[in-house]
Order: sequence, then structure tokens, then C-alpha cells
Amino acid sequence: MRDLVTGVVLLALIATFWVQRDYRAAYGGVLPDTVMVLLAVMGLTLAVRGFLARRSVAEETEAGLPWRALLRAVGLLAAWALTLPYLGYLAGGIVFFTLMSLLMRTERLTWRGAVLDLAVACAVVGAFYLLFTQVLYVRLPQLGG
Amino acid sequence: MFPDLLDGLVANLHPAMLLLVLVGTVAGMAIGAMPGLSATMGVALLVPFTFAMDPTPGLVLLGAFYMGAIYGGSFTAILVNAPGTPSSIATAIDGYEMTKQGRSEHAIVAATVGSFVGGLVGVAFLIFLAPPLADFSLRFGPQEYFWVAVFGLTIIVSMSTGSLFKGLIGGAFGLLLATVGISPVGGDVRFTFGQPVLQGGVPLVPALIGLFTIPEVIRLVARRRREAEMADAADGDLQGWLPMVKDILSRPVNLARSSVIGTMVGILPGAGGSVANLVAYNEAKRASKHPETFGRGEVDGVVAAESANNGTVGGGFIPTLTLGVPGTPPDAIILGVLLLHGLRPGAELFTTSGDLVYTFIIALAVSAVMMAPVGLVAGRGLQRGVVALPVRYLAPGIALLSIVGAYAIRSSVIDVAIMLVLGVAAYFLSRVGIGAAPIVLGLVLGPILETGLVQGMLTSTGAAQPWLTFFTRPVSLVLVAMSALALLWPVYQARARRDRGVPAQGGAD
Amino acid sequence: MTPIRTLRMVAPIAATGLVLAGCGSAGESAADYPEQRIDYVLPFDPGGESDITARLQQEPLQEELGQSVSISYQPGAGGALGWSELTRTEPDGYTVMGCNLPHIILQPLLRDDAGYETDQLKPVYYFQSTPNALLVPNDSEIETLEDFVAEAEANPGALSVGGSGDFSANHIGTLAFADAAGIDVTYTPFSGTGTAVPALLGGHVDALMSYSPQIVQLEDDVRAIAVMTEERMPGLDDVPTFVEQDYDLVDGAYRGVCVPEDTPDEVVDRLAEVFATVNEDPELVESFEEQAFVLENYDPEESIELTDERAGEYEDLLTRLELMP
Repeated sequence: MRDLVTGVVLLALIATFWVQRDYRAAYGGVLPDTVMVLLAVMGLTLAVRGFLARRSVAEETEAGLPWRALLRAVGLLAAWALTLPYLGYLAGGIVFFTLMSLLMRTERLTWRGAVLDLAVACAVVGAFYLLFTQVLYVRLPQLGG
Repeated sequence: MFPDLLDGLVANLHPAMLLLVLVGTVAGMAIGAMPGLSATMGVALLVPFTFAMDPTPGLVLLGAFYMGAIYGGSFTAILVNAPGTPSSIATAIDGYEMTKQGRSEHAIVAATVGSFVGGLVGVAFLIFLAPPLADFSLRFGPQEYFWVAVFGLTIIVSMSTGSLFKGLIGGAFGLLLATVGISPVGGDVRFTFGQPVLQGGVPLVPALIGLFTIPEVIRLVARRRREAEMADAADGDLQGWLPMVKDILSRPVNLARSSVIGTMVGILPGAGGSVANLVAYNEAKRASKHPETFGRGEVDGVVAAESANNGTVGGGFIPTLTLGVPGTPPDAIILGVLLLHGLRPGAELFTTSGDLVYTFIIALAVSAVMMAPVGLVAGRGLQRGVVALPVRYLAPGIALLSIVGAYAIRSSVIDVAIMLVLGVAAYFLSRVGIGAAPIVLGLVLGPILETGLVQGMLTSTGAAQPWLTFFTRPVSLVLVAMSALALLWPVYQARARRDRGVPAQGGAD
Repeated sequence: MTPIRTLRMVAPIAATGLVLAGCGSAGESAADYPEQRIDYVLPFDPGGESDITARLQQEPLQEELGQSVSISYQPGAGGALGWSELTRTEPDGYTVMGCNLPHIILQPLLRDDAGYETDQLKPVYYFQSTPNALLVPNDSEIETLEDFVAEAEANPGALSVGGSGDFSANHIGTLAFADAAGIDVTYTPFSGTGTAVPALLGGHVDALMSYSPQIVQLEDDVRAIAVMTEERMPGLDDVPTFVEQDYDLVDGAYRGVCVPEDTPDEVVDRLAEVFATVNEDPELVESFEEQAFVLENYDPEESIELTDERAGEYEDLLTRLELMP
């Protein structure tokens, strides 16, 4: 089943690339076209294999994680990245570091725990921020964009 | 040469110089250890600091930093599956597996020994064989680079710890990603989905972090704990760093071969460090008596990768100093500094500025030597720290570093987004059995492959059949043979093992 | 949660946020420019010619401006990513970006969407140029430009001429020369001078249309058969120009800095002054000459004139060659 889905997604992806073909340079299309064709063939094979084997027990290459946990993880990261231009590295980092630590706690949340997480967040994010901006002169996103 | 060489040696033994090398090496290790901060970027950041210095100490500092940074990339590759630079991709493959099995200390020690030996071998080649090797590197034209890339892609065959077919899909996917942006030869704008920002293509370091590190972060956050084995030290593994060092030194062939491979690949401008560690890893797997352990925490894999990538430091300077052609991106920066001081690469650099050049080269060797004790202390300290750190701080900490790593190179939030998108994709792909390593291979080698192809066709326009030149040049033919061998060898190996009654790769445990 | 508890939770985060917001840069008045650090951004990878030049300028700039100047990189798309990003940057004069002719002319001209238009980049100063130079390996049978043209006429399209980049000075220089000489050669773009040079030295291309600094850097390994300057370059007396061999070709890459279009004129003028002074710095001048960079001094107005003039010529050439999209 997974193979089937992957194969189909792959073919869809290739389609989005294929419609954008617009080569002007000499030999400009040789590699991309070859790769797309190869990948399409492989994707099709994968899909067919997946279709034919759909009744049999799915071979789990990795124990699946519960959907909610995955959503939590991906959601946190996505939110962090999306708010980065607005919150900046320092503020955004503190907020999400704390949030992530809080949400990863397995035992019951206590005030002490929350404050500890916040403190660690401030310390760690603050240290990194200073290191990168003051010592290494690396530009980082600022609050307010 | 020898009088200058001796002078260089003496100059390095001066306490002030030793201190400088130490500082450079440690700083390099620290920067290299941070995911996303590559050696190239670190060297570029360091350059302004060297302006206040005379050329010799300035260059020594940069060189030591570079050597340290390449080594430092192994730490995060091993401990959190975040190759700090493309040079540590292969290190992460087995190194992280070892960490998951509780053998991270062994991996760190392996990386240290490998880097130490590789660094010294590279410098030795630089000192004694620079001119002939530089000339050899000139014989690599577009066609040869094409075949080097093909050879690199055949590594996918051995990289795929599961299904070869899925490994190939991963590689092809990587190649597809590599076509996004402006084409390397010809300037076509391709597959940007209408977004000008994608004209730069999929940036390598954010992709690297995204494909390797982000899935791990996702897993950590979702599971709320590490893989069970990570916390406990493995019984039955060696205890204490000295036995580990001895164990690695007891297999010198791997060390030597990988170091030489690293040096040689470093000589080729444009192929450089990112490919060297993969080639060495592949060769180590092929030569091994138990190839099926590679990808599952085989220490020889870590040794191979790290010897090779530190070998590229010395190797890369061969064309840089003799021809003025940078072997690797940090070499380009250091070359710029040389030019800034009015020092021109070439044969005369070694004669007129021999003292500076040899002091610099010996400093690279000193740096490699210093990496060993510093690494054993710092690396193992770091390893203990990471293992002891509660997961709920480890995960956001890695995320924090990943964001900087993706953002810092181009000051681009888009890069952070790309990292995340690829990370999520990589997670799901790994659930289907398509690993990250082949994808990265395709991404890295795609441009080299295409550049070689198109340039080769263009430069041989005068010939009757341009494409034939890909098969008629001596160096190309050697590379073709190597690629064919690389493709067929695992098949032969599998058959031979079957005949011997050894369980097949990927067999049930 | 009780309100007080909520407050205690949120307060630290909010406080941090407010402090940081307060630290953000307030608007600056042009008269006090500069009041903080200047970002000198290079839209290329570190280690290139633009980088070396910027490094040489950094200290004198800092002295003149009284503020620190930090160099950073935004490579990609041959510079286009950086330039397109510049159009979205605050026009307050605190970000200056390296600018290259002909890149900023040719990219918007030839790409459907380069992400910027040439006139969105306000030039501050063009301080340097590297003229194109035609090089062959020193063991090549081609000894003069005439030989080259003869060889090209005998085998149309067979001669491969390497160069740095697509639609760069090297590329358009090759096109211009081929057009002027009526010959047909194959231009092969390389990712940069750093990769083009070994191709020449290894004999994988027949010739290289590169920049004048390479003549100095490669010395005896190459033979420079022509250079695109008005007169022979100082220190390179035995390199003939295209002009003296009856090809009216004077061109190369121009390097300068530019700022976003809406940057106030006072700021631009101040910056121009500073760069002009830096261009007189003796160390800088010496370094430039040693490496066969040509010192140029185009102030903001002259820069615009230069840009327009080159743009006109390129458009003509490309239209003639039917390469305009």
C-alpha cells in the first residue's frame, strides 16, 4: 500500500516538473529529461508492485509512529519555521524551545518543570544567539522581521 | 625543499605558533561540530580576524581551523545524525547507528583516529608529491568529471541498506532535486515553480540538514524518548579509549586506503570533500570481509569516511598551491587570502616564499596531530554530554542549531523552509524504505554529472561524434571501468557469500 | 489557570519580546548616516575576485565610515539571488551589495524572471574592472590572434572557448569577438574562473576568454593573445589589445556596489565619496595593479551612464545574433 502511494506521489511530482520544461541552452534538457523518465519508470514500477501486493501484510520498514505524535512534532517545527521571520531567532527560539520541552514531558506537567524548561530555553537560545551574532557575526532573524 | 621544510618544522615548534595552531584547531572543531556551519563558512568567517596578522600566522590559523572543522563535522554526524558538512555524510551513516547502539564513544574515537591519520597522509602527499599530482589533476576534463560523478552514483548500490531499487529511486529523486534552479551550464532557468528564489536551486546544506537531521528530530519529539538502546553503553563492546584506538590501528589497510582516496579525490577541483568520504566508505565496504555490517554501525565505515575527509585537506591544497586552482571551497577562500597578501600560487611560491609555505603545510600536520588528544577529550566529553542530556532538551537544541545552519549561509528563511519540507519528506520516505543517503548523493553529484556531460559535448563540438569522446579518453576509460566494477562487485560479493553459506545482506536476524 | 498564574507564565516571554523589539533599529536620518554597522553583501561564493576586492576595501571603508563593515555572502543563480534580494531590502544605506556589469544587465534581459530589473539596483560606485583576455595554452599552435581567427575559419564551430559563467563578460565578449571576426566558435561556460583555468591548462578547451588577472596569475603557463582594453595594460606590455589588431572591442567585467533603488541620494553620495576615497588607498591601488585589476572611478551618475551604454551595445549585439528572447 505504501509503495503504491509513494509511486503515485512520485509520478505526480514528476508531472509537475514535466510541465515546466523550457530548455533553451544547448543540451539543456538531456539530464533532466533522462532523470525524469527514469524516475517515472521506477515510480510506475513501485506503484504497480504496491498495487499487486496490497493484500499481503505490509512490510514495515520502520515502526509507524502514532499520527498525533507525528502531527505534534511536525506541527511544532512548522510553526517555529513559519514564525521565524516575525518572532526572530531569539524570541521565537525561546518560545518554541520551551514549548517543545514542555510537550515532550512524559510525566505530569508541574510549574517547577515549566519554569525550568523556560529557564533552560532562555539560557540555551540566548547563548547561541550571542555566540552567532556577537562572536561569529552571523546575521540572524530579528523580532519584527 | 628540505632546508625550507626544516625551517617550517622549526617554526612550528615555537610555542606561540603551537598555541596558534591549537586555537585554530579547536575553534575549527567547534564550528565544524555545529550542524549547518560548514568548514567553508567557518573559514570565511575567520578571514577578517586574520587581517590584523602577518601572512604566516594568519594562514596557519586558517589552515588549522580548516583541518579541525572537517574533523569536527564528525561529532554531530555521529551523535545526532547531523552531518556538519557534506564531508561527514558517510560518517553519519554508520556513526549514528553506533550511537543508537550505545557505542557512540567508539565512534568518536574511530573518527578521531581516522581524521588524524587522514590529515597526516594528505599533508605528506602535499609535501612530497604535489607537482606530479597537480599535473595529474589537470588531465581531468569535463568527460572525466562526468565519469567521476557516475562512479559516485554507483556508490548508491552499496549505500542502500535495504532494497537496491528503492536506493535507486532515492538517487534519482536527488538528481531531480538537483535540476531545480539555473542549469550549471547554459543558464537555463528550470523548475522554479514560478518562484525566483528557487533559481538558486535546492541549497546543499539546508538539504543535508533537512534530509538527515530533521527526521531524527521528528522521531525524538514524537516518541519523546530516544531509541531504547541509546542510553546504555553496550556490553561486549570495547571499554575505554585506548583499546578502541588499538583496535582501529589493528586494521591499517582501511586507514591507509581511505586516507589516500581522500587525498586523491581532494585533488580534483570541484569533486572535493563531499565525494571523498563516500568513495572511501564504498571502497571500505567492498574490501571488507563482512560488508553486510556496513550501515548498521560498522566502525570501519566511520574510520574510512573520516580518514578520507581529512585527507582532502592536504590533497585539496595540491592544486591550490601549485596551480592556483582551489581543490575545495575552503581552498578558494584561503587562496583568496594568499592573493590578498600578494602571494601567487605556482612553482615559485615554494621557492620565493618557501618558509611561509612550508610553515603553513607543517602547521596542517601539527593540527592533525593536535586533533587526536583534543578530540579524545572534547569529543568524548561532548558525547557524554549529549547522551546525558534529557531528550526534551536535546531535540529543541538540535532544532535550534538546524535552523541556524539552514539560515546562516544565505541569511534566508526560505532555506529554513526548504530544510523543513525536505525533512518531512525524508521522514516519510524512510518509512517507505527510501533512505536519505542516496538522495543526498544524487543532489551532490547531479550538477557535477550534468556539467561534465554538457561541457564535454560542447568542448568536443569539433569532433565527428562528440559523445564518443566520453569513451575514447584514457582517464575516462579507467573511470568507466571502475564504475562498471563498482556496479558488478556487490553482485559478485553476494553470490560468493551465498556459495559460502553466509547469510545474505539484509537477512533476518 | 488563574489569571495570576497565566501572567507569571506569559510575562517572561512577553518581557523578552518587548526588550528585543525595543532593540530593533529605529529609522535613521540620512544626515547622521552611518550610525551602525554596514553590511557589505557579495552575491557570490567566498573566495572569488569580488571577495578579494571587498576584503581589500574593508579596512579603509571602516576608517572612512567610522562604522564596522561586515562582509557576507548570498550566492546563487550567478548573483541573481542576491540582487533580487536587494530589491526587497530596506533602502537605508546599511546594506550595500557588490554589483557586476554585465551580469545585472544581461540577467534581466535574457531570463524570463531574474527576480529583479536592472534599474532597481542603484549603482553607487564602480571601482574596478577586469578586461577580457583571450588566452591559449603556451604550447598551443596558435600564437597570435590572426592564427586564432584562421583556425576558426578553417574549422567552424570546432574551436572551444571556455569562460566563466553564462551571459557574463567572458561570454558576451566571446560572442562580440566572434561576431566582429565573422567566425564561429563554441563557447563553453564554466562555473567560474577557478574551474575554467584547469580546463585550459589540461588542454580540454582550445582557448579561454578570461579576465586580465589570469594573465598575471598564470604567467608562463598561458599565452595571452589579446586583451580588451583601449591600450596595452601597465605591466603587461607584450600583450596586444584587440583594438590594435583592428577589432574595436573594449569590454570586461565591471565591479562596483549598489543599493536598493529608493535609497536617499544623500546616503548614496556619501557612500560614493567613501568608495572614491578608498579607491585611492595606496595598498589597495598597489594590490589592484599587481593583479592586473583596472582601477575605475565611476560615480553614481557616471555609473548609470555606463550601464545604459553597455546595455545598448549588448542589446544590439544580441539582437543581431538573434539571441534575444
